[in-house]
Amino acid sequence: MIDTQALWLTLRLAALTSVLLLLITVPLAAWLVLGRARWRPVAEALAMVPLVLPPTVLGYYLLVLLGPRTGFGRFCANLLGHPLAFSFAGLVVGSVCYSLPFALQPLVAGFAQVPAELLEAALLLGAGRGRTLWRVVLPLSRRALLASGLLGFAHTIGEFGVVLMIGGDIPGATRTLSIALLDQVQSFQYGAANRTAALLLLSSLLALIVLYSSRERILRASRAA
Amino acid sequence: MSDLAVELEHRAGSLHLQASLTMKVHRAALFGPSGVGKSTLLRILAGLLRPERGRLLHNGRTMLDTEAGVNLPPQQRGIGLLPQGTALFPHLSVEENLRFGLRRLPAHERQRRVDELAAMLGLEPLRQRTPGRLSGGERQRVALARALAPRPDLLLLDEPFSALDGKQKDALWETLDPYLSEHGISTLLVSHDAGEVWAYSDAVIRMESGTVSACGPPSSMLSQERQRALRLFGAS
Repeated sequence: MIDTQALWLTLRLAALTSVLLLLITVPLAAWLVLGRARWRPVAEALAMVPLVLPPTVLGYYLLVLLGPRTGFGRFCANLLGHPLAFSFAGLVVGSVCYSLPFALQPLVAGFAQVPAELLEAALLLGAGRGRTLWRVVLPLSRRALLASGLLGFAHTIGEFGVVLMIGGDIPGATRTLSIALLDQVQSFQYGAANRTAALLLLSSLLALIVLYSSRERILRASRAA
Repeated sequence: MSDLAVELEHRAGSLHLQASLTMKVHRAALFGPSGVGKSTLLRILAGLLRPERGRLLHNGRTMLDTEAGVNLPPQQRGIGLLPQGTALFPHLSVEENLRFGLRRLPAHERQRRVDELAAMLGLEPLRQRTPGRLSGGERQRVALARALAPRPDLLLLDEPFSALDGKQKDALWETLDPYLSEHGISTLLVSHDAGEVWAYSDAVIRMESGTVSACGPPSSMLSQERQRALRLFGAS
């Protein structure tokens, strides 16, 4: 049997992470691409670090940061009534950090493809950065938005190292499908492990199929317009 | 009529732009061969490009003063620009493109301006179309309408008629000129077509190798151009 509790927790985590990532990465990508960000290389490097860092390293730092020994950790614990580490909320923080580059990169690439003359036209017609982003850049970056959302979602479903470090393995609170798979293998339940692994594989594949088929639809719609 | 005072210097690649000019603009034209800095000068006037150094006064207001650290953003200059490539928003309909710069106006005034420009420039049947479904000439008319809609004090027109034939240009200008006069919009037209300059301007600024080489009425300027061309080909 598939661990349905882990399945729903994983879906809930991925959905919440995707929404938060969209809220963070859209203004961040706009700042990086449309603004005259002097610190762009540093900001981009920081955002991209999870791509090259071992997940356990990121998980370790987050565990330290969110733990009771730091001011931030104590502040969060006071705010929520419980420590962030080894909780679902902590898992969300870890997932957002770890999936950030996967959600940010498509947006940076998509925003950069909006022709500069359209941004200038918006400026000449009195639009500020916010209106230019909302009325010009985002509608012309639909594929990038879709790619960002799907990659953030799919990557969160499959993450393991950060989740294990920051959340441990608490059923119903922090045990995601990838951790459930480890549990199943360690307890020799290969049938259940096969089903869990297949589910993770299919969900990743499905996300990519949706992404690429949507790209075709958007390209066809752009050509028709 | 717009008072324009320009004193600036800017380098970009092989171009070294040094413009010094004080004039009253009504229907002026910037004339000169390709690559002499006409479009660069327009972009500086519009506020899209900051020159290395210089001053720009429009109707007595300082738009730019690099020494004093003044550089008004494009939307505060009262200067509109119709770029060479039209730059229409491809995802918006013609009507939405026209409305884009009118957000701060009351709804009834927005509608009035869009209706007026659509009727004047023959855009009525195109209002719901997106730019991708328009011809080159139609796109230029939509871009012109969009640049006119906010009624800038000075409208910079960068090769605005390149997709139109002679008769279409004349017909468009005949419609446009009274509208510009009625709403007090001055124009500065960029062109390398002597016929356009002759027909649609009352003052010509000639540019050569990044500098303003002469300024005067079209008749005297074009006569000088003719003499230069004749000299070039060895005729007397």
